[in-house]
Amino acid sequence: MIHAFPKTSAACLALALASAPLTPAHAHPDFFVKVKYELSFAEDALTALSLDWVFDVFYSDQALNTYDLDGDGAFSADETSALQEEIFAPLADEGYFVRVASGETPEPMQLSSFTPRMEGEQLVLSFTLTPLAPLDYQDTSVAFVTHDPRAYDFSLAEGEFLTVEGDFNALCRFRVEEGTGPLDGLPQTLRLLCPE
Amino acid sequence: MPLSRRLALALAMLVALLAAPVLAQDQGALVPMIEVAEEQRGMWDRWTDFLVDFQRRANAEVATHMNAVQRGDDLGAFFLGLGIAFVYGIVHAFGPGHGKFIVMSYFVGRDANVARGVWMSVQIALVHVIAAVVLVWLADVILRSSAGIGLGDVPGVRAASFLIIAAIGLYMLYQAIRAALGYIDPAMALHGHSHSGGGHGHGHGHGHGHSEAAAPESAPESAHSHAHSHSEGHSHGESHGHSHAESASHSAASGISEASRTESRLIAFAAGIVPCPGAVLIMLYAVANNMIYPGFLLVGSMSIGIGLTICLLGVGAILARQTATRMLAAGDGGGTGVVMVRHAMNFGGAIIVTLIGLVSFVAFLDLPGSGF
Repeated sequence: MIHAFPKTSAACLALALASAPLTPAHAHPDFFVKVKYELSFAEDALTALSLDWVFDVFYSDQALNTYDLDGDGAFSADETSALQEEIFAPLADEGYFVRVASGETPEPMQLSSFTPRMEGEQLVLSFTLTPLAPLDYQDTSVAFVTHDPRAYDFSLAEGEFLTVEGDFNALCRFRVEEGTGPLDGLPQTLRLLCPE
Repeated sequence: MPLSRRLALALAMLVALLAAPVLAQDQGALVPMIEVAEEQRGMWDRWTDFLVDFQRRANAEVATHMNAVQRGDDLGAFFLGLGIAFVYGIVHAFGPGHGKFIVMSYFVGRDANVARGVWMSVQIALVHVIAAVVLVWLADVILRSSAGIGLGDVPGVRAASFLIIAAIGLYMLYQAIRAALGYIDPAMALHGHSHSGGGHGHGHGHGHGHSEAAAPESAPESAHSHAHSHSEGHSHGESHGHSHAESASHSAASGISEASRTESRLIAFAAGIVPCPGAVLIMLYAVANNMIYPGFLLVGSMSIGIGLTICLLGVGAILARQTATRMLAAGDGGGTGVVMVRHAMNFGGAIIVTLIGLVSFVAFLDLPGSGF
């Protein structure tokens, strides 16, 4: 039996490594969400970050069946309120999974609007986050990402996943990259870069 | 700066200005310039990216095929959906959760045969399916009464499973300590009884009436064990002269005692009782769209895939333990090396299982709502 050890141990090691991710649950999502961003600018500063979360069909169906009590395929004010309270509000402690950094500093954001809707079979949660103070993006690099290490898989929507509106310096550009600093290692981080 | 370079720079700036959106003020939303950096992702990150990307696609594919089934388009779509759900389950279970690390740690800390690892995986898959179906049934009943239910409404089940895992880990630790103190054989920690022969450590005196059929892959060891007398009055004298490693094999091949069965069932129950949220959503979708049986089969197929991954890893742990003890036995003739390694694995497995249970429970207490 001993002669078989290298093969067996190699197989065991491979299996053990494959099962190792006890830590970040990035490889184990249960709900899939496509993300679209719209950034608002005023006076050379970022003033708001609006997001659309487009959920997978299964999650969407469950949300519709749970919260669209009158079955009209839309969410009334009361239904929206229930959905927000039960699904969305509990995510506040996690910053709604949206992380924003200005330079090396994480920037806290606050919720300013929330609207659920159905687009075909898919639930779309639209919400806006605003920084405590407008973020200067010309002198300091601003970066943001949506990420949950546990259950939700957030990925950039296909096609148009980012738009800007307001007083935006068109010489600036965005780069999709792996995060650094406070967003270290997070995939699909969007960094706003402006010429000096 | 040379003229040619200045011209090139000016040209580049002109192109950039023309290509870029104009200042967007008061012109509604515009698409800015976006570049995609080539990410220097390590092998591990690329592996997890691949797993996630596959699951993203599989999730969408299963939805597409379920819609095709609902429309009655094509029975082939259903079978294709089953296949995708099966592979989805395999890949999904490679991520954290589903009890695979618990199973691996458990089998590192316990002598067991391959059949037992396979059976435990089957049990976990079964519990997974049953848990998903029961949860959906409960959800359906409650939804019909307009009360609403969500996955977040299962905290009691989740907390209980973590505590069961921690309790089993502590029990394993207790047995590992007893084995270390010489009350029981380190290879026999599972069986939880002491030997009349004191600290000699042979694997005799247990499992009477065990069948070789229960562990066909261990037939040689089993044959060895049957060479000894198992009568009530038999002696475990030094005259046997066989090694501790053989004793371990004897233990592994000796069938499964009622205590170990109970322990295995508890592990399978604790690992499988928290249903996979993804599977629950598929089942809910099926119920909501009058596809109960196809939904059940899809969730079953996914759970078999999950079970297969757990099986591979559990069996890997069993083989790793067996191989390590055999190798050491060959090296030192079954002396203190084997015993020490077995003690180490007993403690290691017990501590990891305990930690998984406790850490998961503490994390659970601190977990914000992450779903319905």
